[in-house]
Amino acid sequence: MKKVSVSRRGFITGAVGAGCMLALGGVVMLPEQALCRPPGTRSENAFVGACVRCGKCIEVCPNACIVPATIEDGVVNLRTPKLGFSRSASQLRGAMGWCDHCTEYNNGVAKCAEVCPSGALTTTDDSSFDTMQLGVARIETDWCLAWMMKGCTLCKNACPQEAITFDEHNRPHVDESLCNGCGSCEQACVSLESVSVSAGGRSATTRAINVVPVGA
Amino acid sequence: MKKMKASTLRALVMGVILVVVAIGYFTAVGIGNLSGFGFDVFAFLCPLGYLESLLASKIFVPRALISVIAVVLLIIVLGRVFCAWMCPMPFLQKIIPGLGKKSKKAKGAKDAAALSENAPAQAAPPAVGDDAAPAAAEASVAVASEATSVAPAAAEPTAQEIDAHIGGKPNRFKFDSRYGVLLGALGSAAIFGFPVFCLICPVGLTFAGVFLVMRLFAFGETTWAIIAVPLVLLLEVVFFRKWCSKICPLGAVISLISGANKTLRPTIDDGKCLDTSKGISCLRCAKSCPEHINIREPELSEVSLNNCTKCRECSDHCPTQAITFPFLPSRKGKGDAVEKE
Repeated sequence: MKKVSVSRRGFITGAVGAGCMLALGGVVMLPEQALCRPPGTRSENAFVGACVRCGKCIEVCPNACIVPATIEDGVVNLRTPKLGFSRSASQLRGAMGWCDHCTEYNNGVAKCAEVCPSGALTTTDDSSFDTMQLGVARIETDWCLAWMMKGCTLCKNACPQEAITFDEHNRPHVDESLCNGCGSCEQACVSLESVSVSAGGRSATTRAINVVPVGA
Repeated sequence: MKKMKASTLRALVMGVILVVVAIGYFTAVGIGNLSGFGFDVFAFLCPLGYLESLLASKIFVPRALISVIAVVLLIIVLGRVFCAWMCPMPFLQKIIPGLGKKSKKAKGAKDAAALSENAPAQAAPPAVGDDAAPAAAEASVAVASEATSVAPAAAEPTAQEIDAHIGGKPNRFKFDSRYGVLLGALGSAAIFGFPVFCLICPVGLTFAGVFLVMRLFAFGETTWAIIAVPLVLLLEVVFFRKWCSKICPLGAVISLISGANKTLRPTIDDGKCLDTSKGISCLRCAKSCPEHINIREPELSEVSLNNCTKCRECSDHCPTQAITFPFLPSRKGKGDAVEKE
Protein backbone atom coordinates (compact mmCIF):
# COMPACT_ATOMS: atom_id res chain seq x y z
CA MET A 1 0.00 0.00 0.00
CA LYS A 2 2.71 2.37 1.07
CA LYS A 3 4.88 1.31 -1.85
CA VAL A 4 2.17 2.20 -4.33
CA SER A 5 1.69 5.66 -2.85
CA VAL A 6 5.43 6.37 -2.88
CA SER A 7 5.88 5.27 -6.45
CA ARG A 8 2.83 7.32 -7.40
CA ARG A 9 4.52 10.35 -5.88
CA GLY A 10 7.66 9.37 -7.78
CA PHE A 11 5.64 9.05 -10.93
CA ILE A 12 4.10 12.50 -10.53
CA THR A 13 7.48 14.11 -9.76
CA GLY A 14 8.91 12.36 -12.79
CA ALA A 15 6.05 13.45 -15.02
CA VAL A 16 6.29 17.06 -13.82
CA GLY A 17 10.06 16.97 -14.35
CA ALA A 18 9.62 15.56 -17.84
CA GLY A 19 7.09 18.30 -18.60
CA CYS A 20 9.54 20.94 -17.37
CA MET A 21 12.23 19.48 -19.63
CA LEU A 22 9.88 19.66 -22.61
CA ALA A 23 8.92 23.22 -21.70
CA LEU A 24 12.58 24.17 -21.32
CA GLY A 25 13.17 23.02 -24.88
CA GLY A 26 10.89 25.91 -25.87
CA VAL A 27 13.74 28.37 -25.29
CA VAL A 28 14.72 27.38 -28.82
CA MET A 29 11.97 29.82 -29.88
CA LEU A 30 13.88 32.76 -28.39
CA PRO A 31 15.87 34.88 -30.83
CA GLU A 32 19.35 33.60 -31.50
CA GLN A 33 22.32 35.43 -32.89
CA ALA A 34 23.76 33.87 -36.06
CA LEU A 35 27.32 32.88 -35.18
CA CYS A 36 30.43 31.80 -37.06
CA ARG A 37 31.39 28.30 -35.96
CA PRO A 38 34.80 26.60 -35.87
CA PRO A 39 35.94 24.59 -38.91
CA GLY A 40 34.39 21.12 -39.19
CA THR A 41 30.82 22.30 -38.58
CA ARG A 42 28.30 20.46 -40.78
CA SER A 43 25.42 22.85 -40.37
CA GLU A 44 24.32 25.19 -37.62
CA ASN A 45 21.46 22.89 -36.58
CA ALA A 46 23.65 19.79 -36.52
CA PHE A 47 26.27 21.72 -34.59
CA VAL A 48 23.96 23.07 -31.90
CA GLY A 49 22.36 19.63 -31.61
CA ALA A 50 25.58 17.69 -31.20
CA CYS A 51 27.74 20.07 -29.13
CA VAL A 52 27.88 19.06 -25.45
CA ARG A 53 29.53 22.37 -24.43
CA CYS A 54 32.69 20.77 -23.07
CA GLY A 55 34.90 23.64 -24.22
CA LYS A 56 37.76 21.49 -25.50
CA CYS A 57 37.94 23.28 -28.86
CA ILE A 58 38.18 26.64 -27.09
CA GLU A 59 41.05 25.32 -24.99
CA VAL A 60 43.13 23.80 -27.76
CA CYS A 61 42.82 26.48 -30.47
CA PRO A 62 46.46 27.49 -31.08
CA ASN A 63 45.32 30.79 -32.59
CA ALA A 64 43.00 31.65 -29.69
CA CYS A 65 40.21 32.55 -32.08
CA ILE A 66 37.50 30.31 -30.59
CA VAL A 67 35.58 31.89 -27.73
CA PRO A 68 32.54 30.71 -25.75
CA ALA A 69 29.24 32.17 -26.90
CA THR A 70 27.54 34.20 -24.21
CA ILE A 71 23.95 34.62 -23.20
CA GLU A 72 23.78 37.68 -25.45
CA ASP A 73 24.24 35.29 -28.39
CA GLY A 74 21.09 33.45 -27.35
CA VAL A 75 20.16 31.05 -24.56
CA VAL A 76 20.67 27.92 -26.65
CA ASN A 77 24.04 29.18 -27.89
CA LEU A 78 25.32 29.80 -24.36
CA ARG A 79 28.68 28.04 -23.78
CA THR A 80 28.90 26.80 -27.37
CA PRO A 81 32.09 27.78 -29.23
CA LYS A 82 32.06 30.61 -31.74
CA LEU A 83 34.77 32.30 -33.75
CA GLY A 84 35.97 35.60 -32.38
CA PHE A 85 38.40 37.45 -34.61
CA SER A 86 38.09 40.80 -32.81
CA ARG A 87 40.13 39.82 -29.78
CA SER A 88 42.69 42.37 -28.67
CA ALA A 89 46.43 41.82 -28.48
CA SER A 90 46.27 41.61 -24.68
CA GLN A 91 43.62 38.88 -24.89
CA LEU A 92 45.54 36.96 -27.56
CA ARG A 93 48.86 36.97 -25.71
CA GLY A 94 50.90 36.36 -28.80
CA ALA A 95 48.42 34.10 -30.57
CA MET A 96 47.47 34.94 -34.14
CA GLY A 97 43.78 35.54 -33.56
CA TRP A 98 42.43 34.21 -36.85
CA CYS A 99 41.86 30.73 -38.25
CA ASP A 100 44.48 29.23 -40.56
CA HIS A 101 42.96 25.73 -40.26
CA CYS A 102 46.09 24.79 -38.28
CA THR A 103 48.23 24.69 -41.42
CA GLU A 104 51.50 24.41 -39.55
CA TYR A 105 50.54 23.73 -35.95
CA ASN A 106 48.67 20.52 -36.60
CA ASN A 107 49.54 19.36 -40.13
CA GLY A 108 46.56 21.02 -41.75
CA VAL A 109 44.02 19.24 -39.53
CA ALA A 110 41.91 21.64 -37.55
CA LYS A 111 42.87 21.02 -33.92
CA CYS A 112 39.40 21.95 -32.65
CA ALA A 113 37.70 19.36 -34.87
CA GLU A 114 40.31 16.79 -33.94
CA VAL A 115 39.62 17.00 -30.20
CA CYS A 116 35.82 17.42 -30.39
CA PRO A 117 34.44 14.38 -28.51
CA SER A 118 30.80 14.74 -29.57
CA GLY A 119 31.19 14.97 -33.33
CA ALA A 120 29.78 18.50 -33.48
CA LEU A 121 33.03 19.33 -35.29
CA THR A 122 34.35 16.70 -37.67
CA THR A 123 37.62 16.23 -39.47
CA THR A 124 37.12 15.39 -43.13
CA ASP A 125 39.86 14.62 -45.64
CA ASP A 126 38.89 17.37 -48.05
CA SER A 127 38.81 20.03 -45.36
CA SER A 128 41.66 22.50 -45.71
CA PHE A 129 42.37 26.20 -45.38
CA ASP A 130 41.26 26.74 -48.99
CA THR A 131 38.04 24.75 -48.81
CA MET A 132 36.78 25.89 -45.39
CA GLN A 133 33.97 28.41 -45.30
CA LEU A 134 33.76 29.85 -41.82
CA GLY A 135 31.85 32.92 -42.85
CA VAL A 136 32.31 35.88 -45.09
CA ALA A 137 33.93 39.27 -44.45
CA ARG A 138 31.67 42.30 -44.49
CA ILE A 139 32.85 45.92 -44.46
CA GLU A 140 31.18 48.51 -42.25
CA THR A 141 31.46 51.37 -44.70
CA ASP A 142 30.17 53.79 -42.03
CA TRP A 143 33.34 53.59 -39.99
CA CYS A 144 35.94 52.09 -42.31
CA LEU A 145 38.92 54.44 -42.46
CA ALA A 146 39.55 53.66 -46.11
CA TRP A 147 35.91 54.46 -46.91
CA MET A 148 36.56 57.83 -45.19
CA MET A 149 39.36 58.29 -47.68
CA LYS A 150 42.04 57.97 -45.00
CA GLY A 151 44.02 55.52 -47.11
CA CYS A 152 44.12 52.48 -44.82
CA THR A 153 45.11 49.16 -46.45
CA LEU A 154 45.52 46.89 -43.41
CA CYS A 155 42.75 44.40 -44.30
CA LYS A 156 43.94 44.00 -47.87
CA ASN A 157 47.51 43.42 -46.68
CA ALA A 158 46.36 40.80 -44.20
CA CYS A 159 44.12 38.76 -46.51
CA PRO A 160 45.82 35.47 -47.51
CA GLN A 161 43.13 34.74 -50.11
CA GLU A 162 43.46 38.06 -51.95
CA ALA A 163 39.75 38.44 -51.59
CA ILE A 164 39.89 42.18 -50.88
CA THR A 165 40.21 44.53 -53.81
CA PHE A 166 40.34 48.32 -53.89
CA ASP A 167 38.24 50.49 -56.17
CA GLU A 168 39.37 53.66 -57.92
CA HIS A 169 38.96 55.65 -54.66
CA ASN A 170 41.10 53.08 -52.77
CA ARG A 171 38.06 51.82 -50.90
CA PRO A 172 38.08 48.07 -50.04
CA HIS A 173 35.54 45.57 -51.40
CA VAL A 174 35.24 41.86 -50.50
CA ASP A 175 35.07 39.26 -53.24
CA GLU A 176 32.75 36.80 -51.50
CA SER A 177 33.65 33.98 -53.88
CA LEU A 178 37.28 34.12 -52.69
CA CYS A 179 36.72 34.86 -48.99
CA ASN A 180 36.86 31.79 -46.71
CA GLY A 181 36.10 33.67 -43.51
CA CYS A 182 39.51 33.10 -41.92
CA GLY A 183 39.24 36.41 -40.07
CA SER A 184 42.72 37.76 -40.79
CA CYS A 185 41.22 41.03 -42.07
CA GLU A 186 39.04 41.48 -38.99
CA GLN A 187 42.01 40.76 -36.74
CA ALA A 188 44.12 43.31 -38.63
CA CYS A 189 41.50 46.08 -38.66
CA VAL A 190 42.43 49.00 -36.39
CA SER A 191 38.94 50.46 -36.06
CA LEU A 192 37.78 50.18 -32.46
CA GLU A 193 41.06 48.51 -31.56
CA SER A 194 43.68 51.21 -32.00
CA VAL A 195 41.51 54.15 -32.95
CA SER A 196 38.01 55.19 -31.99
CA VAL A 197 35.98 56.00 -35.04
CA SER A 198 32.65 57.70 -35.27
CA ALA A 199 30.90 58.81 -38.38
CA GLY A 200 27.54 60.39 -39.18
CA GLY A 201 26.59 60.59 -35.51
CA ARG A 202 27.18 56.85 -35.02
CA SER A 203 30.19 55.55 -33.21
CA ALA A 204 31.70 52.23 -34.11
CA THR A 205 30.46 49.22 -32.16
CA THR A 206 32.49 46.64 -34.06
CA ARG A 207 35.59 46.68 -36.19
CA ALA A 208 35.19 48.01 -39.71
CA ILE A 209 35.52 44.60 -41.37
CA ASN A 210 33.91 41.58 -39.71
CA VAL A 211 33.42 37.96 -40.59
CA VAL A 212 29.70 37.16 -40.48
CA PRO A 213 28.00 33.80 -41.05
CA VAL A 214 27.41 32.89 -44.68
CA GLY A 215 23.95 34.04 -45.65
CA ALA A 216 23.56 36.34 -42.64
CA MET B 1 46.52 9.41 12.90
CA LYS B 2 42.84 10.13 12.72
CA LYS B 3 41.13 8.84 9.62
CA MET B 4 39.93 11.57 7.30
CA LYS B 5 36.20 12.05 7.12
CA ALA B 6 34.67 10.87 3.85
CA SER B 7 33.03 14.27 3.27
CA THR B 8 36.39 16.04 3.63
CA LEU B 9 37.98 13.58 1.25
CA ARG B 10 35.19 14.09 -1.30
CA ALA B 11 35.57 17.87 -1.13
CA LEU B 12 39.31 17.47 -1.70
CA VAL B 13 38.77 15.26 -4.75
CA MET B 14 36.35 17.81 -6.22
CA GLY B 15 38.81 20.62 -5.56
CA VAL B 16 41.55 18.69 -7.36
CA ILE B 17 39.28 18.12 -10.38
CA LEU B 18 38.42 21.81 -10.51
CA VAL B 19 42.09 22.78 -10.37
CA VAL B 20 43.01 20.25 -13.09
CA VAL B 21 40.26 21.55 -15.36
CA ALA B 22 41.24 25.15 -14.66
CA ILE B 23 44.90 24.45 -15.45
CA GLY B 24 43.85 22.70 -18.65
CA TYR B 25 41.79 25.71 -19.60
CA PHE B 26 44.78 28.01 -19.76
CA THR B 27 47.42 25.55 -20.92
CA ALA B 28 45.57 24.40 -24.06
CA VAL B 29 46.10 20.67 -23.53
CA GLY B 30 42.45 19.98 -24.16
CA ILE B 31 41.28 18.60 -20.83
CA GLY B 32 37.82 20.01 -21.30
CA ASN B 33 35.37 19.97 -18.43
CA LEU B 34 33.35 17.10 -17.02
CA SER B 35 31.06 17.13 -20.09
CA GLY B 36 33.97 15.78 -22.10
CA PHE B 37 36.87 15.04 -19.81
CA GLY B 38 40.15 13.80 -21.22
CA PHE B 39 43.47 14.64 -22.68
CA ASP B 40 43.93 15.93 -26.21
CA VAL B 41 41.95 13.72 -28.62
CA PHE B 42 40.94 11.28 -25.90
CA ALA B 43 37.87 12.03 -23.86
CA PHE B 44 35.39 10.56 -21.47
CA LEU B 45 32.10 11.87 -22.79
CA CYS B 46 29.14 12.59 -20.53
CA PRO B 47 26.72 9.71 -21.24
CA LEU B 48 23.66 11.94 -20.92
CA GLY B 49 25.23 14.60 -23.12
CA TYR B 50 25.95 11.91 -25.70
CA LEU B 51 22.39 10.56 -25.71
CA GLU B 52 20.98 14.07 -25.97
CA SER B 53 23.33 15.10 -28.75
CA LEU B 54 22.64 11.84 -30.64
CA LEU B 55 18.89 12.46 -30.49
CA ALA B 56 19.16 16.19 -31.16
CA SER B 57 21.51 16.08 -34.13
CA LYS B 58 20.34 12.66 -35.37
CA ILE B 59 23.90 12.00 -36.50
CA PHE B 60 25.74 8.91 -35.34
CA VAL B 61 29.38 9.62 -34.52
CA PRO B 62 31.47 6.46 -33.95
CA ARG B 63 34.10 8.39 -32.04
CA ALA B 64 31.59 9.78 -29.60
CA LEU B 65 30.25 6.27 -29.02
CA ILE B 66 33.77 5.07 -28.17
CA SER B 67 34.15 7.95 -25.70
CA VAL B 68 30.87 6.95 -24.08
CA ILE B 69 31.74 3.27 -23.96
CA ALA B 70 34.87 4.29 -22.02
CA VAL B 71 32.60 5.96 -19.49
CA VAL B 72 30.20 3.01 -19.33
CA LEU B 73 33.12 0.69 -18.59
CA LEU B 74 34.32 3.05 -15.85
CA ILE B 75 30.87 3.04 -14.29
CA ILE B 76 30.69 -0.75 -14.42
CA VAL B 77 34.13 -1.03 -12.80
CA LEU B 78 33.70 1.70 -10.19
CA GLY B 79 29.95 2.14 -9.84
CA ARG B 80 28.15 5.42 -9.42
CA VAL B 81 31.19 7.16 -7.91
CA PHE B 82 30.74 10.23 -10.11
CA CYS B 83 27.74 11.42 -8.14
CA ALA B 84 29.49 11.57 -4.78
CA TRP B 85 33.10 12.18 -5.73
CA MET B 86 33.08 14.33 -8.89
CA CYS B 87 29.74 16.07 -9.26
CA PRO B 88 29.77 19.48 -7.53
CA MET B 89 26.04 19.37 -6.68
CA PRO B 90 26.18 17.43 -3.37
CA PHE B 91 29.06 19.63 -2.24
CA LEU B 92 27.21 22.83 -3.17
CA GLN B 93 24.10 21.62 -1.35
CA LYS B 94 26.19 20.95 1.71
CA ILE B 95 27.78 24.39 1.86
CA ILE B 96 24.73 26.37 0.71
CA PRO B 97 21.77 25.89 3.04
CA GLY B 98 18.25 25.45 1.73
CA LEU B 99 15.31 27.62 2.68
CA GLY B 100 13.61 25.17 5.01
CA LYS B 101 13.92 25.18 8.77
CA LYS B 102 17.30 24.00 9.82
CA SER B 103 16.83 23.14 13.47
CA LYS B 104 18.39 19.94 14.62
CA LYS B 105 15.01 18.43 15.25
CA ALA B 106 13.80 19.17 11.75
CA LYS B 107 16.91 17.65 10.31
CA GLY B 108 16.42 14.51 12.35
CA ALA B 109 12.79 14.32 11.25
CA LYS B 110 13.84 14.56 7.64
CA ASP B 111 16.29 11.73 8.03
CA ALA B 112 13.72 9.56 9.69
CA ALA B 113 11.04 10.41 7.16
CA ALA B 114 13.43 9.24 4.50
CA LEU B 115 14.09 6.14 6.48
CA SER B 116 10.42 5.41 6.98
CA GLU B 117 10.00 5.48 3.21
CA ASN B 118 12.65 2.82 2.99
CA ALA B 119 11.59 0.61 5.83
CA PRO B 120 7.90 0.26 5.06
CA ALA B 121 6.88 -1.58 8.21
CA GLN B 122 7.36 1.41 10.50
CA ALA B 123 5.65 1.87 13.79
CA ALA B 124 3.06 3.97 11.94
CA PRO B 125 -0.29 2.28 11.46
CA PRO B 126 -0.74 0.94 7.93
CA ALA B 127 -3.87 2.96 7.23
CA VAL B 128 -2.20 6.37 7.24
CA GLY B 129 -1.77 8.12 3.94
CA ASP B 130 1.12 10.12 2.63
CA ASP B 131 0.33 13.21 4.64
CA ALA B 132 0.22 11.44 7.94
CA ALA B 133 3.45 9.55 7.41
CA PRO B 134 5.89 12.42 8.07
CA ALA B 135 4.09 13.25 11.28
CA ALA B 136 4.37 9.68 12.43
CA ALA B 137 8.00 9.63 11.46
CA GLU B 138 8.59 12.82 13.36
CA ALA B 139 7.08 11.27 16.42
CA SER B 140 9.23 8.18 16.15
CA VAL B 141 12.29 10.31 15.65
CA ALA B 142 11.62 12.53 18.58
CA VAL B 143 12.32 9.41 20.55
CA ALA B 144 15.09 8.16 18.32
CA SER B 145 17.09 11.38 18.32
CA GLU B 146 16.80 11.84 22.07
CA ALA B 147 18.00 8.37 22.84
CA THR B 148 21.66 8.33 21.96
CA SER B 149 23.35 5.36 20.46
CA VAL B 150 20.62 2.88 21.29
CA ALA B 151 17.40 3.52 19.42
CA PRO B 152 14.24 1.82 20.61
CA ALA B 153 13.56 -1.52 19.04
CA ALA B 154 9.93 -0.57 18.46
CA ALA B 155 10.63 0.67 14.96
CA GLU B 156 12.36 -2.52 13.99
CA PRO B 157 10.40 -4.46 11.41
CA THR B 158 9.97 -8.14 12.11
CA ALA B 159 11.12 -10.74 9.66
CA GLN B 160 7.58 -11.72 8.73
CA GLU B 161 6.66 -8.15 7.92
CA ILE B 162 9.66 -7.88 5.68
CA ASP B 163 8.84 -11.07 3.83
CA ALA B 164 5.25 -10.07 3.45
CA HIS B 165 6.21 -6.77 1.97
CA ILE B 166 8.72 -7.20 -0.77
CA GLY B 167 11.20 -9.84 -1.60
CA GLY B 168 13.71 -9.53 -4.36
CA LYS B 169 17.14 -8.55 -5.34
CA PRO B 170 18.67 -5.50 -3.68
CA ASN B 171 19.88 -4.10 -6.95
CA ARG B 172 16.88 -4.71 -9.17
CA PHE B 173 15.75 -1.78 -11.25
CA LYS B 174 13.40 0.53 -9.45
CA PHE B 175 11.64 3.31 -11.25
CA ASP B 176 11.95 6.69 -9.65
CA SER B 177 11.20 10.24 -10.71
CA ARG B 178 14.69 10.75 -12.17
CA TYR B 179 13.84 8.39 -15.00
CA GLY B 180 10.82 10.51 -15.84
CA VAL B 181 13.01 13.61 -16.04
CA LEU B 182 15.47 11.60 -18.13
CA LEU B 183 12.78 10.61 -20.63
CA GLY B 184 11.59 14.22 -20.76
CA ALA B 185 15.13 15.49 -21.35
CA LEU B 186 15.76 13.01 -24.16
CA GLY B 187 12.37 13.65 -25.76
CA SER B 188 12.88 17.38 -25.54
CA ALA B 189 16.34 17.11 -27.12
CA ALA B 190 14.87 15.07 -29.98
CA ILE B 191 12.01 17.52 -30.55
CA PHE B 192 13.86 20.82 -30.19
CA GLY B 193 17.18 19.72 -31.66
CA PHE B 194 19.62 20.72 -28.93
CA PRO B 195 20.78 19.11 -25.67
CA VAL B 196 18.13 20.67 -23.45
CA PHE B 197 19.26 19.41 -20.07
CA CYS B 198 22.84 20.59 -20.69
CA LEU B 199 21.46 24.13 -20.41
CA ILE B 200 20.62 23.68 -16.74
CA CYS B 201 22.95 20.84 -15.78
CA PRO B 202 24.50 21.82 -12.41
CA VAL B 203 27.81 20.26 -13.44
CA GLY B 204 27.94 22.31 -16.64
CA LEU B 205 26.76 25.46 -14.87
CA THR B 206 29.40 25.11 -12.15
CA PHE B 207 32.23 24.89 -14.65
CA ALA B 208 30.67 27.59 -16.82
CA GLY B 209 30.44 29.89 -13.80
CA VAL B 210 34.06 29.34 -12.79
CA PHE B 211 35.32 29.97 -16.32
CA LEU B 212 33.17 33.01 -16.90
CA VAL B 213 34.80 34.55 -13.84
CA MET B 214 38.25 33.42 -15.01
CA ARG B 215 37.64 34.93 -18.45
CA LEU B 216 36.33 38.12 -16.87
CA PHE B 217 39.61 38.65 -15.08
CA ALA B 218 41.91 37.22 -17.76
CA PHE B 219 40.34 38.80 -20.84
CA GLY B 220 37.94 41.41 -19.52
CA GLU B 221 35.01 39.62 -21.15
CA THR B 222 31.80 40.96 -19.69
CA THR B 223 28.49 39.19 -20.21
CA TRP B 224 25.21 38.88 -18.36
CA ALA B 225 25.93 35.16 -18.19
CA ILE B 226 28.26 35.90 -15.27
CA ILE B 227 25.12 36.71 -13.30
CA ALA B 228 22.67 34.37 -15.04
CA VAL B 229 24.72 31.17 -14.81
CA PRO B 230 25.44 31.26 -11.05
CA LEU B 231 21.86 32.43 -10.43
CA VAL B 232 20.32 29.40 -12.16
CA LEU B 233 22.77 27.15 -10.33
CA LEU B 234 21.92 28.78 -7.01
CA LEU B 235 18.18 28.33 -7.64
CA GLU B 236 18.74 24.64 -8.30
CA VAL B 237 20.88 24.26 -5.18
CA VAL B 238 18.49 26.14 -2.90
CA PHE B 239 15.07 25.07 -4.18
CA PHE B 240 15.71 21.49 -5.25
CA ARG B 241 17.18 19.95 -2.12
CA LYS B 242 16.49 16.46 -3.41
CA TRP B 243 18.01 17.15 -6.83
CA CYS B 244 20.31 14.13 -6.73
CA SER B 245 17.81 11.49 -5.63
CA LYS B 246 14.65 12.83 -7.29
CA ILE B 247 15.52 14.94 -10.34
CA CYS B 248 18.96 14.45 -11.83
CA PRO B 249 18.68 12.58 -15.16
CA LEU B 250 22.46 12.17 -15.34
CA GLY B 251 22.35 10.30 -12.04
CA ALA B 252 19.54 8.20 -13.53
CA VAL B 253 21.69 7.19 -16.50
CA ILE B 254 24.58 6.33 -14.20
CA SER B 255 22.32 4.35 -11.82
CA LEU B 256 21.00 2.42 -14.79
CA ILE B 257 24.50 1.48 -15.92
CA SER B 258 25.76 0.77 -12.42
CA GLY B 259 23.26 -2.09 -12.19
CA ALA B 260 26.10 -4.10 -13.70
CA ASN B 261 28.53 -2.91 -11.04
CA LYS B 262 29.62 -5.42 -8.43
CA THR B 263 32.61 -3.71 -6.86
CA LEU B 264 33.01 -1.37 -3.91
CA ARG B 265 29.67 -2.27 -2.42
CA PRO B 266 28.99 -1.39 1.20
CA THR B 267 29.49 -4.55 3.19
CA ILE B 268 28.42 -4.98 6.78
CA ASP B 269 30.40 -7.11 9.16
CA ASP B 270 27.56 -8.82 11.00
CA GLY B 271 29.86 -9.70 13.87
CA LYS B 272 30.34 -5.98 14.59
CA CYS B 273 26.95 -4.59 13.55
CA LEU B 274 24.80 -3.70 16.56
CA ASP B 275 21.71 -4.97 14.78
CA THR B 276 22.94 -8.48 14.08
CA SER B 277 25.31 -8.99 16.99
CA LYS B 278 23.35 -7.38 19.80
CA GLY B 279 19.87 -7.08 18.34
CA ILE B 280 19.88 -3.31 18.75
CA SER B 281 18.12 -1.50 15.93
CA CYS B 282 20.63 1.22 15.16
CA LEU B 283 20.16 1.90 11.44
CA ARG B 284 22.60 4.83 11.53
CA CYS B 285 23.87 3.63 8.17
CA ALA B 286 20.44 3.91 6.59
CA LYS B 287 19.78 7.30 8.21
CA SER B 288 23.07 8.75 7.01
CA CYS B 289 22.71 7.55 3.42
CA PRO B 290 22.20 10.59 1.13
CA GLU B 291 20.53 8.30 -1.40
CA HIS B 292 18.18 6.87 1.23
CA ILE B 293 19.37 3.31 0.73
CA ASN B 294 18.85 1.05 3.69
CA ILE B 295 21.97 -1.05 3.39
CA ARG B 296 21.10 -3.04 6.50
CA GLU B 297 18.05 -4.42 4.73
CA PRO B 298 18.60 -3.73 1.02
CA GLU B 299 15.83 -6.13 0.04
CA LEU B 300 13.16 -3.91 1.50
CA SER B 301 14.85 -0.61 0.79
CA GLU B 302 12.73 1.62 -1.41
CA VAL B 303 15.89 2.64 -3.23
CA SER B 304 17.94 0.13 -5.16
CA LEU B 305 21.57 -0.51 -4.33
CA ASN B 306 22.36 0.61 -7.89
CA ASN B 307 22.05 4.11 -6.54
CA CYS B 308 24.92 3.71 -4.10
CA THR B 309 27.49 6.42 -4.86
CA LYS B 310 30.21 4.88 -2.63
CA CYS B 311 30.26 8.11 -0.66
CA ARG B 312 31.17 6.23 2.54
CA GLU B 313 28.81 8.24 4.75
CA CYS B 314 27.35 5.01 6.17
CA SER B 315 30.82 3.78 7.00
CA ASP B 316 31.61 7.06 8.74
CA HIS B 317 28.40 6.99 10.74
CA CYS B 318 28.56 3.36 11.84
CA PRO B 319 29.23 3.39 15.61
CA THR B 320 31.11 0.08 15.42
CA GLN B 321 32.95 0.60 12.11
CA ALA B 322 31.24 -2.49 10.73
CA ILE B 323 30.86 -1.16 7.17
CA THR B 324 33.61 -1.48 4.60
CA PHE B 325 33.79 -1.01 0.85
CA PRO B 326 35.86 -3.95 -0.43
CA PHE B 327 36.77 -3.71 -4.09
CA LEU B 328 35.43 -7.19 -4.74
CA PRO B 329 32.59 -8.78 -2.78
CA SER B 330 33.87 -11.42 -0.41
CA ARG B 331 33.05 -14.99 -1.41
CA LYS B 332 31.61 -16.46 1.76
CA GLY B 333 31.06 -13.16 3.39
CA LYS B 334 30.72 -12.24 7.00
CA GLY B 335 27.18 -11.25 6.21
CA ASP B 336 27.62 -9.24 3.05
CA ALA B 337 24.75 -6.84 2.62
CA VAL B 338 24.70 -7.57 -1.07
CA GLU B 339 24.85 -11.29 -1.08
CA LYS B 340 22.51 -11.79 1.81
CA GLU B 341 19.34 -11.96 -0.17
